[in-house]
Amino acid sequence: MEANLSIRGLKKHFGANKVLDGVDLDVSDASVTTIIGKSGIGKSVLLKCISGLLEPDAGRIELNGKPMALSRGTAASDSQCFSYMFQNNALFDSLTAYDNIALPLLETTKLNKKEIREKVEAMLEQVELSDSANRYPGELSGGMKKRVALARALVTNPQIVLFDEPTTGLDPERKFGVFEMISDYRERFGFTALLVSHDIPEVFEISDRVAWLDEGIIKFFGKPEDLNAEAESALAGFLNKANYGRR
Amino acid sequence: MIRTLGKLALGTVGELGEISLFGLSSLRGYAAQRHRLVKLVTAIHEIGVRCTPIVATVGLFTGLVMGLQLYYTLVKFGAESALGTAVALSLIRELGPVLTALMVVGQAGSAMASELGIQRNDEQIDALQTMSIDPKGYLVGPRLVAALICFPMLTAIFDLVGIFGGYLTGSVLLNVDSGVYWNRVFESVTWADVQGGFIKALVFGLLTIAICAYRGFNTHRKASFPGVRGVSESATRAVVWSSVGVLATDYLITSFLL
Repeated sequence: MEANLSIRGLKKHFGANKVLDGVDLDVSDASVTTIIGKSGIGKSVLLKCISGLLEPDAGRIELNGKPMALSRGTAASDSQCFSYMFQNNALFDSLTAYDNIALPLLETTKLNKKEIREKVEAMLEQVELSDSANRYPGELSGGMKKRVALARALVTNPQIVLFDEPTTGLDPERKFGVFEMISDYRERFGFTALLVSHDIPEVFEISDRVAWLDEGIIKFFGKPEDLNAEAESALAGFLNKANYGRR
Repeated sequence: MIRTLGKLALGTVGELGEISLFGLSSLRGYAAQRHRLVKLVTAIHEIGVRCTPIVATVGLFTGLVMGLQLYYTLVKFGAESALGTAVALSLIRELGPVLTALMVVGQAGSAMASELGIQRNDEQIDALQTMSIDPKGYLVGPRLVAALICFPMLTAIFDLVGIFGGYLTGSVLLNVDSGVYWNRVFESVTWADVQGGFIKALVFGLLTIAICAYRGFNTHRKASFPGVRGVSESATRAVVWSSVGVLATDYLITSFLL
């Protein structure tokens, strides 16, 4: 299940505000790439452009060397190669955990009810939520909701999963748990993960690559350990503010 | 002044165009959905079943009041025997479709606009899109089809209960002969009257549900405020625009039908 994502010259502006000004990024197969940067700098916008929720003004996105359509609603979302895990989970309140996970299978595949049940039950077991299958999102804890959202994102076997600040609103212990979960499931399911996170340095523990988005472009792209070599740059200032001590 | 009026007119026409396209793409999206019947039954429950009690209640009281008012008007001309005709025709041609639509807007339309607004703010609509599920076809399309089925049925319930209400005040309370009352009802109502009422019900159904769904679905674009205030603004505007739409369309359809 090869999934190499290549982004070239991606631009997006809202009125006079240039949010993305020519983003170039390569996400390699079965890796975890984390996008870091200041709040409001455009990290989520970048994910939404990749997923097709926002239409970029210019640029090219290629998946495994094949260009993808960039218009809203016809890009990544239609290719079923991508899944998206939202900051606030975006679970359907009126559906149980089981139904939330089953939704993409019910609506987009030709699997019969038995096959769907088997898949969803297997997924619930993987995320250790078998006992909570019939509970509504309102009856689940923050961590459990994250796991339901992750299960829903993974149940269609996507090649690439986009995580938009997956640890928002969680305490340090649960944050660590979510990162561990992403790392663990990535190894188990073999997907490629693209994360947006503010949790520095914790997120580096699971990241194969780190991309620093600043002033609309990717100013640093490399391994987490290479961040130490950036002592004199603006990135160092950002990392210091984010409590990333000199390691 | 003229510029402002022009802007307002252009804005309204533009909005109507957007709502029409929104409704069409929702119906097209629904046609491509899987499990259409399940979604339709859920929407019929939301728009039809849940609204039946309020529509019947308002129908009954409307009939009761009409029986009372028309009796005291007709009795001045010694024409109280025409009560059945007056009540039935007023309800079937005019009040039935209009008041039914306004009741459904108040009950189901506002709830729908709020629900879609919350789903928009909570990124549930975006989530559908990332799952390759057409959000309009999934959320709006079944409701539009349900409106086409439910509005005429609710209108019929309103008419029947209203005519019965007229009978209660006219015959039971004010002693108009019940045989005369029902005879006048059956004699005066023609198929063209019923058809006209149903045409109105169909148009009001599509119009109101499309406006309410459009407002809720586009809360992020159309509301002046983000968050909860945006949702409440969407719901309020949905109800106001739908109600104005019903009354304006009623005038247009009536002028064509008469």
